[in-house]
Amino acid sequence: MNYFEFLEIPVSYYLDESQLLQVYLQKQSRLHPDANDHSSNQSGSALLNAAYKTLLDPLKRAEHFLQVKNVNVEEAFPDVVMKTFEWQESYSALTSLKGKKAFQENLKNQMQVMLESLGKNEGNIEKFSKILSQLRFVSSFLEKISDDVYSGD
Amino acid sequence: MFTAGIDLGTTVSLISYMDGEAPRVLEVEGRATVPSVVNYSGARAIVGQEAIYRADATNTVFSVKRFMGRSDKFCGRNAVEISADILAYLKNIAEQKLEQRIDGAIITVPAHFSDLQRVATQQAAAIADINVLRLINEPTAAAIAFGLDKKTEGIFAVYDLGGGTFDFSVLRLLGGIFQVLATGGNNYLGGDDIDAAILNYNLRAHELSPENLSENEKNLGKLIAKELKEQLGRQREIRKKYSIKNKVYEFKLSQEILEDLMSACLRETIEIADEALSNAAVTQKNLDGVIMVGGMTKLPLIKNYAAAHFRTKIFDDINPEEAVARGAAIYAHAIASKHALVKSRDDAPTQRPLLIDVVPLTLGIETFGGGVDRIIHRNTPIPIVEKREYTTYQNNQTGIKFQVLQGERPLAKECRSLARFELNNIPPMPAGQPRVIVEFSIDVNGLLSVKAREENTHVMQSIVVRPSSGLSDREIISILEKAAAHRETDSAQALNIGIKVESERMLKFWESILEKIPTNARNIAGEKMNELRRALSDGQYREAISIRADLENIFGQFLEKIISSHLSGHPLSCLQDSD
Repeated sequence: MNYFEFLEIPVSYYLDESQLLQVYLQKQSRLHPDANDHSSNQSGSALLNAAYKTLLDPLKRAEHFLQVKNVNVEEAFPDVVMKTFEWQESYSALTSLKGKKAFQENLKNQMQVMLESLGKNEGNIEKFSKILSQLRFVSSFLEKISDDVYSGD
Repeated sequence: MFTAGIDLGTTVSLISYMDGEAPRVLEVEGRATVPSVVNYSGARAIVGQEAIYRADATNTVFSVKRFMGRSDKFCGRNAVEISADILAYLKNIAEQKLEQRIDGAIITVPAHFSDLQRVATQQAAAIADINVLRLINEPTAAAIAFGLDKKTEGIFAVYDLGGGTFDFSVLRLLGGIFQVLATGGNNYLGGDDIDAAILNYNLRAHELSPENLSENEKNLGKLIAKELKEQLGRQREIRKKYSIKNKVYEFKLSQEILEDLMSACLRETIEIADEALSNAAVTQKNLDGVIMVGGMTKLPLIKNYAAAHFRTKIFDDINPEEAVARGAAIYAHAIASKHALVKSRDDAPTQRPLLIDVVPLTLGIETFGGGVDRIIHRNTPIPIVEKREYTTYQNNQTGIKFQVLQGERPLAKECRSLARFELNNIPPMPAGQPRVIVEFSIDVNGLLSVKAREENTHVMQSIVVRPSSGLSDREIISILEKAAAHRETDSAQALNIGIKVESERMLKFWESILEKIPTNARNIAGEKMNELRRALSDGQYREAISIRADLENIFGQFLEKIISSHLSGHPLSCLQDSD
């Protein structure tokens, strides 16, 4: 399923959020079982929600973009792996909650920067894939950190 | 025939209907709100104001909503049955006053009600003979009332502090669509807690200990506390007499004391609100206003607190106690009139309001080692379907156990367990080879169903989440029968709706496991299921019960076999019971 086509927006990592929202709401007011005069079937509405959510999230959108382009992202770029080891080590050395939260903030900012550079490299699929593979790690690492920080609160 | 909106609250409940194009809350004994209090001293349940007058030590139940989805019993009844009595009372009063039958209703629930609590609410409605058009979240209902009242668009938040629960939802109102962006809340934070704090404060002032009071004295004391709180208004201080064990005490409340008692509660509401705003990626700058809802927000103290924090327009001019019920009536009417599209009197046809709500709490599966694999994240729009693939982890493993979890915490034991199920009869294969697809679906009522399927062999298992501590189908039927016997009017119909609802639910479940049972049994069961469908559509409810009993026997035998079947190898997840 090509969500870009389904939501009638260009197949691109770059997103016009207001355009996405407009098409989403317009389609939902046809597909949602509360709005649909002829059907109480929820599957169309559910699919639309999944598509909207995927395209709205930069990381999921990037994944979907490559999937639509039929590009498989190699799991391990050696320098990406090295960098992630470094991060993991420096995080596990932290003991105070304050330090962990600072690390978390820092990593969030780095993720933001990476997402921006993703946008600039849409034409260069190899570079795009490499940034994405790093983002995958950062995103799941951030989830772990947030669980850890949450437990420590 | 008419459709209704029902706000089934912790301390008070309301029922509303459409009077022409305007939602109107039904007045009972001159008041819009009915206390959610039930007295069981006589043969019949007494609900509302009268139950408070009668309040006697052992036979009166207060704030039962706090126990929805749990098995606690009061006066020999559980929360579902007691809530059903409140719902039946509201329904009967409305039918008598409007001299019409109720056709269907929307019942509102706190946005943070868990799946179990939602199912319990539906069960209560079934027992009360109410056809539930939809469960909708309280803050969302309030936003609908607000949006249609003000005819405005933008990003708004609903601050909903009621008797027992707090919800904070962020919504986009655009072109008649109410899109929830994020929600946050606490099911155990509300006016009830403040009342208890006011009572305890006064007891201490008189050197009394709350432990020395009977349950009933405490409940009455809380009512006095509630009156103090509500009558304080902008006065500096008020006093009220209260008698305990034949002695009269003077209780008092001042602005300073109230502020002090509420400070922790208010701080928590703001923390929840800020998190929801951040999850919605909404800053205070692009927030167009905060709508104040729930009985507690009538207190000037809370309005001032919210105004100081949010620094945006605070809307406190829609009736905070009635907004939820009115919004529910509007949406009930919209759903019921799907075919009769409402046209505006002006030029352009106006859309009916459309509501797109979100999942309030993350749903997932326990992983090996007691973690949580999050499958549907909170604030995902509903309806939604999400899939995950799992596999076995030992050679020739024939079964996988799953535990379905709800909550934000990283450890399974810290989340709420919604259900456990097993996928069995996986043919022996090397570890990692079976492909088990687990599918989570959440419908428009926010209710979850889960399917697991092995892709190579199509072995399948599905469950509908039920309150494990709640009521079984048999119990519901027996309560319905009992209730029907007591009811003077339309007892047969009450029973029939219950039978129909439960039969359809069972049919759905059986359909999903039909392909797993041996051919002989499958043929018989398939035939019986068709008979049941025919009986239901022909209105042959007595027959339906007996066919259903047969089906329960057929599937029952088989289910026991599945459960007792020996598992070789270890399951992937949930090796031990974590609670």
